[in-house]
Amino acid sequence: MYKYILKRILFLIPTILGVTLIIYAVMNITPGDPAAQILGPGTPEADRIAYNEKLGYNDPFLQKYVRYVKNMVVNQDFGISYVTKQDVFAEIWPRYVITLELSFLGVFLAALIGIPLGIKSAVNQYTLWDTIPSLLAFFMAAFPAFVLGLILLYIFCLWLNILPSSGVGTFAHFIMPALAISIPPAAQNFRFTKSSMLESIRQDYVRTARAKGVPEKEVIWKHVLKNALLPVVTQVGLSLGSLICGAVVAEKLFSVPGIGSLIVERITYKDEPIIIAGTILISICFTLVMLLVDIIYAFIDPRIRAKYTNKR
Amino acid sequence: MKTEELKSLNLQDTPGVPLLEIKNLRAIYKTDLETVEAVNGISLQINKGKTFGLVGETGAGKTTTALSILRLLPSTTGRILEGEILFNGTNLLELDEGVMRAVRGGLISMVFQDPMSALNPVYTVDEQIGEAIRLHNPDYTKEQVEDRVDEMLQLVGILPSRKHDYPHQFSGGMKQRVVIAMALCCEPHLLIADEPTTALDVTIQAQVLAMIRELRDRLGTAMLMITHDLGIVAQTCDDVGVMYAGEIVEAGTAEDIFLGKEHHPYTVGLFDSIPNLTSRATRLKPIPGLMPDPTNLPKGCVFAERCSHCMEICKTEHPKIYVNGTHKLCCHLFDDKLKQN
Amino acid sequence: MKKFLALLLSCLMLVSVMTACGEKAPADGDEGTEKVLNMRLAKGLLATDWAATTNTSDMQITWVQVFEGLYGMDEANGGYYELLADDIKVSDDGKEYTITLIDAKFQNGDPLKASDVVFSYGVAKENPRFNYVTSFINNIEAKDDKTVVMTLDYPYSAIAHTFWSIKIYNEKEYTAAGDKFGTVPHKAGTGPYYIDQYDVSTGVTLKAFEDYHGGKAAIDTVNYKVITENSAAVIAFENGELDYFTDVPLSDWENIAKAAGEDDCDLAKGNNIRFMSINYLSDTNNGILGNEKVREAIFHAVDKDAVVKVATAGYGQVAYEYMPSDYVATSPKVSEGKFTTYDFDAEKVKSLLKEAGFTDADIAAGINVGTILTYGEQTADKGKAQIVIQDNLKACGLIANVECAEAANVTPRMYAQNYDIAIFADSGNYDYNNIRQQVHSESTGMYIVDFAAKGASVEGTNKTSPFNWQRLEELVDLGVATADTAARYDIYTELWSIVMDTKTILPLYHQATGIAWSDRINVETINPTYYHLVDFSWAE
Repeated sequence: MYKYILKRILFLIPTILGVTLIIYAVMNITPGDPAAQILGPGTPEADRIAYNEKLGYNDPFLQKYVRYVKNMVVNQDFGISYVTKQDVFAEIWPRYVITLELSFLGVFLAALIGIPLGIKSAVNQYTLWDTIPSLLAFFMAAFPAFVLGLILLYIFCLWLNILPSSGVGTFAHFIMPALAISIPPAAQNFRFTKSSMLESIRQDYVRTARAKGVPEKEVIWKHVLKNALLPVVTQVGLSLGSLICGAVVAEKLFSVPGIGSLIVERITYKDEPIIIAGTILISICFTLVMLLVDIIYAFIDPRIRAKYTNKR
Repeated sequence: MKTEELKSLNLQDTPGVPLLEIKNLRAIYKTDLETVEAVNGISLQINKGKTFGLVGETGAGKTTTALSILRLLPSTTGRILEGEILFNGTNLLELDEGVMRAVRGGLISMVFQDPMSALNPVYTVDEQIGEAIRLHNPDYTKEQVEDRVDEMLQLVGILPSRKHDYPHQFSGGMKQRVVIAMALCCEPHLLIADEPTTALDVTIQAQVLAMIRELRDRLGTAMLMITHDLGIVAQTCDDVGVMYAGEIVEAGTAEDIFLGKEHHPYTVGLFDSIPNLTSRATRLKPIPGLMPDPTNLPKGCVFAERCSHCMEICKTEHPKIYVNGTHKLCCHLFDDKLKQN
Repeated sequence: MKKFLALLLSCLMLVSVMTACGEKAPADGDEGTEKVLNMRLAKGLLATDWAATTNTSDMQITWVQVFEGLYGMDEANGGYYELLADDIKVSDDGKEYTITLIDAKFQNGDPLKASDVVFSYGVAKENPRFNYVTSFINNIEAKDDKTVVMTLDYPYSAIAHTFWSIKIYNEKEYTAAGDKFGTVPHKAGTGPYYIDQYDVSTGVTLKAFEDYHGGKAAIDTVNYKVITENSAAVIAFENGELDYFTDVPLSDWENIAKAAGEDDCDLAKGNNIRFMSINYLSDTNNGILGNEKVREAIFHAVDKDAVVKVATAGYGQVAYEYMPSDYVATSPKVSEGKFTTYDFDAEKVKSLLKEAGFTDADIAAGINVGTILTYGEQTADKGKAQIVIQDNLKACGLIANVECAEAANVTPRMYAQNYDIAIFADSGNYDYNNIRQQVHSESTGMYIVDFAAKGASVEGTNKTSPFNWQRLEELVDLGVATADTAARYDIYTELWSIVMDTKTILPLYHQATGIAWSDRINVETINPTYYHLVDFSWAE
């Protein structure tokens, strides 16, 4: 098992190298440059080129790439932002942590809301416990996080006046943004859990359990759930990826200084060091989460565990 | 749990009171679109320690009968319309669900057809058998449960050291043995075996059947053996019922069915369709036609369409049961014999 | 199953612990008993060095509160006033300036010295961004601790703008910080506030400078929070989390005005201009835009009132002048009627088109005049104006497409005359000399109409300019060479008249600036852009 985990972690290295190369390549093709944005229109061409030259922006992208990777590996240094001239890592890390907090809270809320409701809905199919959450999920899955965020702001901030409208600092600041981004994935989790549960309930081993005299509640919680949750776990893990990106919307609206909004802001500036470092961090997080999902999967399902540990 | 009530069910075998008696059972599956009449008024009796073979084609209603006994019909669609299922005299259909749970696995156990999917893949064999033991013997200590698990596994021919393995680590035949061990671990009075060997290959089939017979003899368990294989019926069963389209068209002791002179045309057809190893026939002799649509059963005799002896009356009137000792037949061919009785 | 639950719960705990140890941003509201002023930043402050960016958002802090120049700017009434300069004498030839400095201290305690001024101008001269206000400075040196002598290559009338633009650093602190200057809080300015805490993502905290030469500010601590979304800022203001709201999104003006109360809000005419330009060199539809009558027809087809109503929700004002004469002393006033204006006149459009050679049938079928290009969001004012104008044109038989994209994409096309019709904005002009960037062929950047027909778009063709562009450029140079306001006024009047006659630039409207503030503070003077925190006080 540990060998397997180690192998997966080692995969991070080609991932990082690949991501960096792709970003440099893409930045190379797209128009714009730091000087244009920072110095503004009206600067003479020569000055713009000189400014970019000083930053090292005009070098061929492969050269920039190699330099960047060398810098990362040898000096553990992610470089300096073209825009603020501050150390990239120092600028990014606090924002990264905040986005992670927000996303994880979002995933957690989405699971907390979606999964139990999905279970209840599957067990009590065709009753109100089923129809109402299903209808809600139908709408919420399509609701854009931005609109949800505005509604939440309106209710909790203006009307009830119990939550702060922006920024970070206390747990209270995280509630609304986390809710805003968690509701669409919650709806998905709900639908997914429900269908997975319904499928599992129809399995033969459930009938066997009942034939043994197992009480219905135990049938659901012990026999069905463990099997039904396998695909749900994968879904939740995947949703973390989309949440990290989707968090950008909530970050902009609630002025949460996260890494998503940072990257988006700096794209127009073509602030390559920041964009790359940010993307790398996100890739690492995503890879580790997927690894965690796989490990949990192996935990739950002995058939998968056997594959990883090469037992029979 | 509910030991007093259980005890009231756990009557000693009183002569005259069969272990299991089904009277006029009618069960349907009802969806919004249609109603499937699966079981249409069957009656049978199983005595203590005896084995009853329920024979018939796929779709005859055998499994539905078995599920009805344990009240395991799917809650959304299955309904028992009328009838009584008496276990040592007590009507199971009137019992509280809590008591019924004690019955399931404790007094009556069931073994299903497909061993591949009958076991929960994420729990070990030990855990699953142990669960059954614990449910019906809540006062057992952990060691007692473990000992019992070991005992059962040995009984079915599996090394107890394998009890921590998961179902996917066993072959089909061994899985079925585990299922059987699970079914018998609480020493039920009645074992319902729904085509237990159909999904296994022939050699394993023989092994498992032998094992079932042995256990039955040793434990004295009565058995309801559901099968479509007349060979198994011959080897294992004391009494037989032939089921067709939700009805029992012929019933009796094994001798009656195999050696008797009178038979329902369907039974004749069944026997004829068995391929003969010795003869040099180039074609099989199946019964022409298909079973009638259970949502739209015909008036009169259900077999009329496919019967080579079909008469006018067969199409309009449902035949009455002709009783000849232990042999019962439900066919208009014996109408004149009815008048004699 | 139990193990699974245990794992889940421990993840839960981890997450809660993480969020509990969240970032401690500059706190909002009151810290203890001290009152804090809450301000908003629309974007993170990119640098604490005034010379690093020219975002209005950044300038509002670094150019006004933290740093000071020789002159200050009186935005509300137009004109400049002496700030760090005590007295400025000009030589007769207009090329030598002798500047005496006031007694002032830097925020770090050092006294203001002439050497600091010389140093700061030296640094600014190296910076290409300030070329337009420093290129003519020949030499600058300190005569003594309190006197600076500056010599110019030629007399420059708009020197006041330079005196305002170039802010004075504390030489010692600037050189000591080296490359790091601008990335961290510092005390290298002379302004009424210094930067106490600084984080690009979350915001800035300013603290009042005790020994400010104009007297310590009434409000001690000012906290800027980054709120990027306008809607979130509106909510923050209505929720009482924001004390002063500049540049209120006009779509929310009514709500904000109601929330703030009549006395605490103001809708000022902004110092900005939206204008429409026609590229007379465009090849579209056989160079139809090269036809003067067609261009004039287009001008008369535009209903400026409708544009104002839709694009600015009625809050803006129709424009005829390039820079609002309210704010710029030398800007020719439309009231004097000395240059041509083009008002909505559907009949005139038709007759002009006929004169240009089009028949009634052509007009009925619709004459293609190319694409109207602009930048920003389609829902912002320029995007809306674009749609209204397209509509106006259509009503008069002129067909145009619209295209709206990001500024980074669009503005280079405009500067390269790669468009048919464009809608553009300019703002923050305080001296009419700035029109140079629009009308002089040697200017860099805003030469959207190629009056001299010298640009890249005409290379290889034999197109020439039908305009008297030489006179335009002459007038620009003349305007800068004299300091006499009246003389400059006449020069610029002639200039603007020529521009109007080319029928290539049409001023559309001035966007309004909405400002609102909470009842916690008193605001004495309303400046549309550059508010002075030092003038704010707590309302008791």
